[in-house]
Amino acid sequence: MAISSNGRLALANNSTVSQFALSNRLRECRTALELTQAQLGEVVGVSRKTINTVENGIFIPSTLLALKLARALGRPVEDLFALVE
Amino acid sequence: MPVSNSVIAERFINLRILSSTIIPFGLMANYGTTYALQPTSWVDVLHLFAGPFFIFWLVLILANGFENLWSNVPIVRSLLGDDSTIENRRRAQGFGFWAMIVIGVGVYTLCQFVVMPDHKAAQLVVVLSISAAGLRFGYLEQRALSLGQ
Repeated sequence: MAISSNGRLALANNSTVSQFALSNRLRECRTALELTQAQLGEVVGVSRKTINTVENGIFIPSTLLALKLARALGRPVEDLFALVE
Repeated sequence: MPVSNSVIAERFINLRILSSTIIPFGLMANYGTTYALQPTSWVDVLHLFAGPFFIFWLVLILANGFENLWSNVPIVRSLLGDDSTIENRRRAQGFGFWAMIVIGVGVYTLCQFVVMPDHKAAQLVVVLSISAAGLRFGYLEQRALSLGQ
């Protein structure tokens, strides 16, 4: 890992941090537990709308919400969210 | 069967979407129909006061922290002002700000060629930019509710 010529943080494979997007497996993990969006929302204290937008990649959750979701689904947060190129 | 808090919150979210979509059109129509109105009856006065009422209501929808307008139940209030709502509000507020800049420049240019009273020009900027922010918020909330269920 190093600072590239344009000032961006460069990773080992020469890609820069800004080239990554966040993907998630929230829907997959939720349906595996047979939970509805509303039920998961009630557990973590957000509306179904928020769960829906996170699942569809419209809204990037805060660290706090990501950790709450991971705890509610009984998985490590890395299982739910990952960086993809 | 008791209704869950999330169901109640979703009803209020839908009502809020409806309000933030319909009120801007009411506000713009009100501005158009009262442009040169000289109040001669209480109906005209009511008509003139409808504009500020619509603006007030839209500002309450667009500002954070007024969820107690919809419900006095703390859980429902927190569901109404959760993470995605705050994000959608932030986007709508930004959209309204840039709409105000563009509309302001447009009205400034228009006033070079058309005689328009100062207060009516100022009202036009306020009405259009708040309406833009309201409509944007309604669109974002509707999209958040309905995307790929």
